[in-house]
Amino acid sequence: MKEEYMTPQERMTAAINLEEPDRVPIAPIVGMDLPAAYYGLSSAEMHKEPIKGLDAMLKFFDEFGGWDGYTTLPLYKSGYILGGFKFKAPGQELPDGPNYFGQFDEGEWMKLEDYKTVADIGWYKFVSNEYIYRISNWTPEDVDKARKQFFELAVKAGQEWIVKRKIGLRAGANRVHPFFTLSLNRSMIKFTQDLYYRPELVDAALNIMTDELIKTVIAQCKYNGGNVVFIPEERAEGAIYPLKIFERFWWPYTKIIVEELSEEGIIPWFHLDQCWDLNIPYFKELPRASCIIDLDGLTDIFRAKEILKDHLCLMSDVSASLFSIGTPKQIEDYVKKLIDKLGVDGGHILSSGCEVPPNCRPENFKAFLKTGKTYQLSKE
Amino acid sequence: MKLGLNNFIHLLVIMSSHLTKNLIELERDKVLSEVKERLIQGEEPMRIIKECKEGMALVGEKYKNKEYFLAELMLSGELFKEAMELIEPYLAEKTAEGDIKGKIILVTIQGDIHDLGKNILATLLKLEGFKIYDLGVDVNPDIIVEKVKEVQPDFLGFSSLLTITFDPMKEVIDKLKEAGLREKLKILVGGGITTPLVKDYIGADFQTIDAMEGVQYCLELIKARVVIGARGGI
Repeated sequence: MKEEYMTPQERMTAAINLEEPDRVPIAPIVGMDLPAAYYGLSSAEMHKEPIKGLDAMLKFFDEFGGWDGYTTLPLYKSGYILGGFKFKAPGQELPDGPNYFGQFDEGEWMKLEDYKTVADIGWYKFVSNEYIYRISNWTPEDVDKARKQFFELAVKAGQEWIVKRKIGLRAGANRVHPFFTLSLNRSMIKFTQDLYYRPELVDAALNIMTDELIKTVIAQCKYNGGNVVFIPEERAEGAIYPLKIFERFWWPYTKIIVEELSEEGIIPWFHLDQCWDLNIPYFKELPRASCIIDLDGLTDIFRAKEILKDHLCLMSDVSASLFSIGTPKQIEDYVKKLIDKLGVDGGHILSSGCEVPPNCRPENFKAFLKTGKTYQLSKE
Repeated sequence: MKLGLNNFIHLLVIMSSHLTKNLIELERDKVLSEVKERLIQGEEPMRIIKECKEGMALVGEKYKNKEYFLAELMLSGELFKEAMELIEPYLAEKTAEGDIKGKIILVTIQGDIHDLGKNILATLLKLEGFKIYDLGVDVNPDIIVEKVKEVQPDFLGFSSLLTITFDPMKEVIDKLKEAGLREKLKILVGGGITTPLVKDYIGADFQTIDAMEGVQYCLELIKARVVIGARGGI
């Protein structure tokens, strides 16, 4: 068996730059739900005190022998509210029990008239001035407390992941794509009506939100030394909208995000849930090696590879259902297939399709890591 | 000369009424103002409903033909609902039980609060003449079993977006088997997280991530039952 000769950082950088690493870099998305379930800890408590969620994530990472990349922060209720997302947490809006985990509370919380306010003052001011109090029962003192808690969490996460564990893929910032942000806060049906019947309102909001995203990500990455921004999106794809909508409301803003962040050496990590088959060819228009395309198992990743080969790095897609009800052999076979077919130009990061679910069988997660770490090195 | 499916749908659209065409083209303001105007003028509400339904059927055809997307399917469903809200006060009586094509219980099981896919399927099935029993989200498995006992539906549809729902859905199906309620019931499971593996694991009959495929499945089974029934099979 060949030896590893790269650090996680070198391995990740090679994959993103479409150069050949010593083996495929591994970066599953493991939030605090899986560690909570694995250790029998209270998910409700972690939402109240996310530092406990981070501790569980660190313990889990260490117990399973580690891997190359991480999104660094636990996803918890107050964090979402600070970003402007209504959220239901176990022990608060949901029952406290082993089968309950935090979830977005999608609804028509944002009203049609709010578009104008967002366009005038920006998303962040809109959230901190008024919206945060609409989607929570917080007082201004609670907001300050939540910000302090977030800051402390981010500092500890940086210390633990970057300084102590030297992980290779560190998201210096997380931002929900502006399109997805509006969809979640208007509700998908209302937002779709807005796109078709009030497009000028949506455009005006997207313009300022895109600009804000770029500026705040640059500032945050400069502050914490990160060079990747995690950007989830699961609403703009061809499984939902025709290309005329994608071309008007998603693609131009996304191109600006990539181009402007690229100039600052920041790599957008697009976490694209659902089926993007129709949209994948558009990504060829982006500069080479400028971002990561992270798919969840519903997009044909092998076809995506054919299209984006030697152009962009793909992050793969072992599905949540396979992790939870598949067998170690099924996981091993699929990981081998991914490595054989996607890693030919180096542009592949082995990952989970969306988050590794809380009911993932531990033997499946072990098989995922073991195959990822050894398969390539054991080949002649 | 061969008439392709696209051309055939296009021809049907051309031949449609003004209202039907506007609904197909998702012209919300025009549809709603025409419905209001015709109701005020005393037109027979069932005729207006028929034209709206024709529009919805053609939207469905365009979706199946990949000319329309989920967005347009949702928008047309919302538009139809809005039109029906205007029409309902003018209807003399509600749809009789005998007109119902089939009965379906729709539910998102305990632990999951997502309902978008379930709601889209409910709208589309209602339009096709199904009676919907929507149990909502985060529903205890025992409540579902009790509802099946009470309603004796043709279908049970699970909407799922989280893997933690797999075992509770399996539990419901196992309990239905024990209670002797499984055999005549067809069970669907849908949602982004579901795969054929999930269908087999929980013991469902059908899995999809496409609401329209779910509608087709229900319609085909109901149609098959009617045919078998006519032959004396049921």
